[in-house]
Amino acid sequence: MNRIITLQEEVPNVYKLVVEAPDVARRCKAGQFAVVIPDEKSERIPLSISDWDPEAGTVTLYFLEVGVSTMKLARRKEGEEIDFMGPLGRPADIENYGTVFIGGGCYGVGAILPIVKALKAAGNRVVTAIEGRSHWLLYNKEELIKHSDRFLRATSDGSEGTKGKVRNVLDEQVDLGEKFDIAFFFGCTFMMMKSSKRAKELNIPCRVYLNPIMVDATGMCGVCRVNVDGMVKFACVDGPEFDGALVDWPLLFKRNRQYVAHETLAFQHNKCELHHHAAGDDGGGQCD
Amino acid sequence: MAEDLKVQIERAEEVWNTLQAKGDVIYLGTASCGIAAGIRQVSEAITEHLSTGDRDVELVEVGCIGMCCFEPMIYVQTGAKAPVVYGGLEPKDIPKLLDGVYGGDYENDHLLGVIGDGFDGLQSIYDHPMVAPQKRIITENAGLSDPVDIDHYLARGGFKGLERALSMTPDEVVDEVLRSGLRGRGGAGFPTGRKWALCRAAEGAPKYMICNADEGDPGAFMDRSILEGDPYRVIEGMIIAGYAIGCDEGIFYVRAEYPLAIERLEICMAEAEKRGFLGNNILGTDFSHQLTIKKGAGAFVCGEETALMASIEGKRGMPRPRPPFPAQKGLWGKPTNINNVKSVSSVPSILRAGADWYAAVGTDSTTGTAVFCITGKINHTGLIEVPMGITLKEIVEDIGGGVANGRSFKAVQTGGPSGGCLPADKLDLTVDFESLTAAGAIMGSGGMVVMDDENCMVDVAKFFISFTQYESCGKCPPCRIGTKKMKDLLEKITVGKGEDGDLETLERLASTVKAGSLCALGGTAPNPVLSTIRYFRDEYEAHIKDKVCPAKACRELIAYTIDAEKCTGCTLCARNCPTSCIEGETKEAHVIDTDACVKCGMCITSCRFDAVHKIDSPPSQCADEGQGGGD
Amino acid sequence: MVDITMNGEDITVEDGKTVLHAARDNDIYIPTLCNHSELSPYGGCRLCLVKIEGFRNYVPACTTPVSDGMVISTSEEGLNDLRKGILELILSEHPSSCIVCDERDECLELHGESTKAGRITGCRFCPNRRSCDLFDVVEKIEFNDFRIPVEYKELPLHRADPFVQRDMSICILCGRCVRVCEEIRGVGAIATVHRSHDTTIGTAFDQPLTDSGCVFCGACLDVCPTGAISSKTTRWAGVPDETVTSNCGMCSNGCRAVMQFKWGKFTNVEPVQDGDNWGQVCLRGRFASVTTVNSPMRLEYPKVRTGDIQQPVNWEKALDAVVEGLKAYSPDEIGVVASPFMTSEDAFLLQKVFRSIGCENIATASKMIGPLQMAWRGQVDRITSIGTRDDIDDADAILIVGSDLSLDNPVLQTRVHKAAEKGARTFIVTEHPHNAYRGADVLEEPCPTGLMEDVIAALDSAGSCEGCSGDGDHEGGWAGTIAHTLMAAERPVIMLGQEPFAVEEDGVAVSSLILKLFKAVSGKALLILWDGPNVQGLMGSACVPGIGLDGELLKEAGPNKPPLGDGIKALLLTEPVSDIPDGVEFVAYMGPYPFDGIERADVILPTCTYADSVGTIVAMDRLVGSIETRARPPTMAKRDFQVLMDLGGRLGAEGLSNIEDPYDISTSTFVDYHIGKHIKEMDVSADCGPVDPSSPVNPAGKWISGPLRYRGLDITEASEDLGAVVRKWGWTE
Repeated sequence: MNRIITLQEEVPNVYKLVVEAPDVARRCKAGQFAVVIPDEKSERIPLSISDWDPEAGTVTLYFLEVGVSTMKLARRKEGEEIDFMGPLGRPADIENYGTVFIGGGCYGVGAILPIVKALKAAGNRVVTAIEGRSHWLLYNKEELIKHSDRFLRATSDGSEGTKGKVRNVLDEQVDLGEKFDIAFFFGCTFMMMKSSKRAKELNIPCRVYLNPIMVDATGMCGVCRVNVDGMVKFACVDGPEFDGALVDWPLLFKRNRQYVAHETLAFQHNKCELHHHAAGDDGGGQCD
Repeated sequence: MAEDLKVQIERAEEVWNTLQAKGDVIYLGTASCGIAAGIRQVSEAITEHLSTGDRDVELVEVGCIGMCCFEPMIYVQTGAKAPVVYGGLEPKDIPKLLDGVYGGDYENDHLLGVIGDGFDGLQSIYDHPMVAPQKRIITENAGLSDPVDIDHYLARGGFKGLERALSMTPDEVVDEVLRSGLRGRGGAGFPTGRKWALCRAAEGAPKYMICNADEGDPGAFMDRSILEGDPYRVIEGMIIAGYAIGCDEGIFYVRAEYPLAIERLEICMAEAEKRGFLGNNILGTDFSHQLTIKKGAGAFVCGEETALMASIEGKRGMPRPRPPFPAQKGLWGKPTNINNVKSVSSVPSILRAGADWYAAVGTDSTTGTAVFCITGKINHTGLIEVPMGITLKEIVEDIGGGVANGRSFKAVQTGGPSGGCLPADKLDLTVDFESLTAAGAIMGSGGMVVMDDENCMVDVAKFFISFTQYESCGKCPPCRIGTKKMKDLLEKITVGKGEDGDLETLERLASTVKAGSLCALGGTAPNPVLSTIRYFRDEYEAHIKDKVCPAKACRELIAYTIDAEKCTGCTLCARNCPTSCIEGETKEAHVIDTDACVKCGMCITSCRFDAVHKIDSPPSQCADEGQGGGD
Repeated sequence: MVDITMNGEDITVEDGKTVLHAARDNDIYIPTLCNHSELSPYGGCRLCLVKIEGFRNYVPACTTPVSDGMVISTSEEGLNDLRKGILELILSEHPSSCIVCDERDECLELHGESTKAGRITGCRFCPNRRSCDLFDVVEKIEFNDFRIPVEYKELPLHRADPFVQRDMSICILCGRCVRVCEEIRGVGAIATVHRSHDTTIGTAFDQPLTDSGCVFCGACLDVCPTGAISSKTTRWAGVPDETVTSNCGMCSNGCRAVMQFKWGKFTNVEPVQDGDNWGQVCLRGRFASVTTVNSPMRLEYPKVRTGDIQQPVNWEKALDAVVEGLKAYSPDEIGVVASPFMTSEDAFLLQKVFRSIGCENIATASKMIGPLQMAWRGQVDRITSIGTRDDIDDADAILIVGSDLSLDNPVLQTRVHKAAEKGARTFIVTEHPHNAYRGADVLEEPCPTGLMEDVIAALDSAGSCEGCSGDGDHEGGWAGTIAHTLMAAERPVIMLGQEPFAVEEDGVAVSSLILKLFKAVSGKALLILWDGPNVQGLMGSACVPGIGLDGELLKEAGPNKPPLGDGIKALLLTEPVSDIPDGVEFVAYMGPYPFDGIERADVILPTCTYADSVGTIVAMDRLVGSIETRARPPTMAKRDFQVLMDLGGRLGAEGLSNIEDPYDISTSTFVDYHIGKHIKEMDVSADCGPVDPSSPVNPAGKWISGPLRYRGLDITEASEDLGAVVRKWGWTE
């Protein structure tokens, strides 16, 4: 079991989790992810790794609260222990491509940091762009500014940076004459699909980090299979990084919607396993 | 004339006259402002000094006559002659002054005038430039009599108005107030007579009469001064109003921040009840009236009548839409009439001297007098009562004695957070409801703040909108959110981050807040901003386009420098600087490190050679992270 | 009537109506957010401003009463801009990506249901995105662009309270929740707190809801336009696949409610505005019900015991095992226990099947019926309530004995509060006085028999005390005061709860004292708050010894042995019992939930709850309600009706051929079972003559019914939140 060092809400509904995991920190590479299990009755949650510090032996992740298991994770207290397993997945293909465009959305804003760092270290000129519905949902800006040659932002309501999404920033930069050799997109399925389509139109090769449902995340169960260029691939061992132009997005959306009913009804029977509330406690029911 | 009232008045006059004719009396101005200015220390010095001599001198505490700039004040009455007023005293001045006066020499530099006609070449206080143009009806007793002594009040014509009212029918009393042309002094200016008539006509019992003494405007203290100086007058006004409307319960809604006013009101109510002016069968008639005091809990919004009633009912002080108006469905759902302290205080004089006498004062659209608290950058700050129709110029220059320490007049703000700022070219405006509203300000409760060229109008607008924003009750979005957006925009402008289009957004927001808000708080909150934009748009544009504050008041847009020629190197500024960011050898010209400087202004105040100046310094435009980024 | 002109059209309007009513009656659209048909006008959101000639500025339509000759314009040029300006201000502090993002629909369609976030920060994270009043107004006013800075209020997220989650960062402060809690439910657990821009809705000193008096009725959820206040367990179901208006089957109040179903599951409950429960539901009917019905504890497979293993089998084997089991004994040695949670049709079918094979030992698992029979027979013609729940409204005195309406029949609390507000003196005699309502005198009495005796004794002096309005405190303490108040009242209402029936003798004593008191004070209504949703229905379905088909008390009833008495060798249970007598050799259990002691069952037949079956139930004031569903029973569970028809066929019971569905039973058997009507009330004046004391009554004891039970299951195990509430209210089983 691994101790939680920091667990705080960075921006509404996005949490920063720092876990003590020396062995994981030693072997992490950009683009990899880890599996987190909040308590015995929760799912095994795959979360991309945002940062690691081999000396301190800590690993940093950003996650969104999107269901019962991530809710339980979000309500854990610092100092408690959770199951933490990683690093998993094939590292990102990092080379010196020349000028690269990296787009991050929602949890992707935290997840693109290692890729930005790796590409910068490989000598690329790195243009980073992050998107969010509004200015109060953008986070991790200082770190990204430090490691990017250019740092841009987009908000749906135009309250900060370009009005729109990461792909609108890509359009603007291309119109301004930027020549991109490759693009990387990290975010929710819809954002990655739309961004890949735009990159394809601008014939810029692009890489995406798919987020299918996973169970063991080590290549056994096959739940995370995705269809890339007509072939079945396992996102957990063959990915999560894939060529965005070749991914069968409708299939991925359908597979991600499979357990909607169970995910919804799970809220009815969610019991707080951890802080077992003895009879006659202050009636608080579930922990805050 | 109720039999025993005649007896009471005779005995009262006897008490008053013996006091007037007393050999030696010293009156002490002890309203809150007098106490704050140090009258207690002065009176200790007096008693200590008198103990050395053998003079038998009576000390009498009186209210305040409104000349705040001269506080603390005493009036010395010797040899049964009219009392002579001395102001701006300190304990150390007392021995020399008293010995002089008791030696027959009244002249000294604290002399202000004589209460009544002048004698031995002394000028009457009523000829003092600050007092001469005034017409004191509501404040006729304030500062001249002991506020809690009912005999003083009776001797100076007290309760005659009530006695006359009780001899008339309630409708006749309402008609008398209607003919007097009295309009509500709370700020809206609705004819008081009509308000009473509406409440009287409404069915439903019991009815309630409320005196609104919440006085939440910053810089307004006239209600306090009246309540502290002449509480019986307000009590008499409430009883008359109760009789006219036909309600047997009256409530004083006084803000808890006026403890002295509340204390004196309680004493006077008890005394009035003892003397038969309050409680059951007032003055032998079958009219009974109870008065209670409800303390406000410090919310400005509770000055609004429906929020005030909610507060009395123990609920959260949030206004509710009208109609239905309080006259039909007010406190506890019953017909209720609410009047400001000043309106209630005018009623005794109207009944005593008659409606025509009152209507003759002021203008025909706005009769009677206006009570103003003149404050800010003016020589004679204080409380004044002037006839309606007087011009702003007379108030600022004559009564106010012109702008302080020789600076130039820039604007005068009337009506507090709901009012507006009027520039120099509006000074010849006459004071009445219609003309002030037309100019974008309002009469309001009577706050009047004079500003000179060192005041930044954008900053003033920000101060007032921040006040109303903080005091909003939060019930309706235009006021709860609109005022915050306006305040944020003004904050942005005053720190040099204004962009073009901000002024238009500010105006659009202002119109939404003004038209959309539920009550007068939100409805008038944009007035200070709109009037400053209307008359000082250039100042706003300077802040937005050139990032410069013409009045050099906005801290982010100025810097402090030392003029090398004028600086004598006396090191005084360096020693007083809290962040010690001024360097220089003694006798050498000093230099301010502008980065470390927090612009507190200590160096300017300590420099005796006028060597330190404020200069424009637009904030450095840090490259927006968007463009430059990590390059 | 009053004539006004609106937008140039002449309209006549009833006096006292507001401008908004007038507009709505003539389908002129005026946007509103804080207005609600059941609540007092608030005038807070300012969207319904209209121009009326003679008024200086715009006036809210929702609060302004119409007056003769008014000239109103509801959509002037300036007004539309003002409304857009106000809406822009509201939306600038509310996550509004659903308005600004042009790919909203495509994204939602591909992602399917909302992402179940903690804080709602945008359309994809919003449970209300398809049912949001705010969005309707945005579309109607055609608002689409922001020209002022937007911000997120970032207020704390309250989700430690049971059932109710409060995310005030998206609250638009319309005040509806505060008003419904104060005006309709009379609880006032939440209020507007803090001031200026920090104003929000919350409890005093930010204490948890469990301490602020909240009864967790969910009324605030129904009126919240944005989902700031939502149900933790049911907020994510989104728009249901199907909805059906049915009756709740959790307690004997039988509230009308809209049941929502999705993915073949029961997902949410919303009250019916014009039902008999005044547009209200309660914590059991709205929150605990959904969690209980969908609980993983539901029995899913038929099982037959081989040795000491209860082996899952298919239905064929299970039913054959029951037939074999029963065939080994004579009909007289078989006992049948009917559950008060079953519908009337299922219960009737149960007794019909077993009577047709000669078994008469049938009884209902209710602690109240027996003692009431013993106390009242000979004095009344049937065991029912008198009057209806509407009599509470104009009652001028109310006495509730044996309940505090916090967990059983909670919705009645709204009516009691309203009557108390109108001046009715209210006495509540209960063992669990946690939930004192304003204006009610609450007496803590674990066993009210003594008090009731004193009240009866005080009655004679009460009669002779002329001119007493009964509201003062009389000599004789509480007993005297209650007696005097009820005597003085013209329309007193008495309610009898289930607490005294924990012990049979107390049940009998209190029942007879209550009837005596009711007659003495010529009460308006006597409501029996049964300890099961359909006890009244089962009495009418011949499942109670000594009571005939239409509920009448029989003078001589047929031979009948208590199903759990001696001589019984085989048992068919549809409701768990506290312990099964040793003499019983064969036990068949038919029900939706396990119970401790289920290991003794030889055959287990998984059946359904009210939310996944069909039929009728009869509420405490004899109101007949229909139950419908669109849910599929879990895995292999079947409806009681189908199981009994199948079992009946195998047992060779006659008279089942002409029955296809439950309604064939109700239409043919229950004469005055018209849905929405009240069946015949008892007649206290009937001269019923002496009754043979040995004639059978419904056996008491061994039943485990109670407000925390649903067909034997302790629902606080299914719903942890209900457990937290119950612990807080000091309830123990």
